[in-house]
Amino acid sequence: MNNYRYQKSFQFSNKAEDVSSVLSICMKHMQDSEELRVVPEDIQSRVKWALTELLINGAKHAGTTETLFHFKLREKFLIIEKEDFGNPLFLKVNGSQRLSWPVAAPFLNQHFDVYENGMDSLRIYTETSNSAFFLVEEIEDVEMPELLINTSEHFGLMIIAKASDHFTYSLDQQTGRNIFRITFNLA
Amino acid sequence: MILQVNQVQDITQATILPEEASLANADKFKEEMITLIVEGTKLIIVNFENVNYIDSSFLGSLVVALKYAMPRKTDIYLVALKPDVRNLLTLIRMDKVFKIYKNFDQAMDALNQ
Repeated sequence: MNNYRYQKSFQFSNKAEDVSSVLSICMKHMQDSEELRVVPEDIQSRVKWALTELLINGAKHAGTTETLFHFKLREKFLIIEKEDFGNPLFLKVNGSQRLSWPVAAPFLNQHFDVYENGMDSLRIYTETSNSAFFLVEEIEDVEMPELLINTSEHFGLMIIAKASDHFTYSLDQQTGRNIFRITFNLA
Repeated sequence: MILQVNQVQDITQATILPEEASLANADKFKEEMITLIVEGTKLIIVNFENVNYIDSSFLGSLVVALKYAMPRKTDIYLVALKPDVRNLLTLIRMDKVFKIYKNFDQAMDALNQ
């Protein structure tokens, strides 16, 4: 049994041209919903950034026209899940290595470098063959122009990982369902 | 057209026109920035005064433009960022990569120091 004190789901377009309108609907829902008014203003900005990047990521890579969003409150946490039945997650890690889901046994329980941006390194940890979580590690101080050389042009997953308090991916192999889950600590 | 450009000697003031700096206009922005760099300007001051919202695609285009600019001895400053935009750049620590100023005047003061 899930102990959510609030739970609501929405079906949205997963197309790039609809990112802006879907984001507006989500943020309006957060502002209008009595239950979600507990989300502080500074966290609302972080939610907006993370939602934007989840939508862009889905539009670019999922290969589906529709996606489901679930908004949940449990204890002091806001949980947002983005669900689709499109392409499983695929990442280029450690430079040029390919990491795809479900993850093969030799790649389980390991950290992989996804990319670096400035002074942060985005990493992913493969918990099981069907689940992983993202984390950000600080890099020692680097100054310009070396800092720019080390900076990737990709920011989406980094923004989600830094804006949220926990960011996971899971794949249900039987149904083909992908779930990106972001959690915000409201305390 | 994404940028409204005003050239003062070898300094280019480039104002982003859309309110949303996003996936929808990131490629066009990148093309226009690269054109300005190729034209040989010394400094591009990118004015964000109209921008309420920025996403990863547009940030990526900014980084590409700076990577293209630096070997060509062109610098890029960012000015008039609204708090939400500034906070996102700070979150991902792009405030360490780009020189950010309150407005054109402050950017020019920094250049002349």
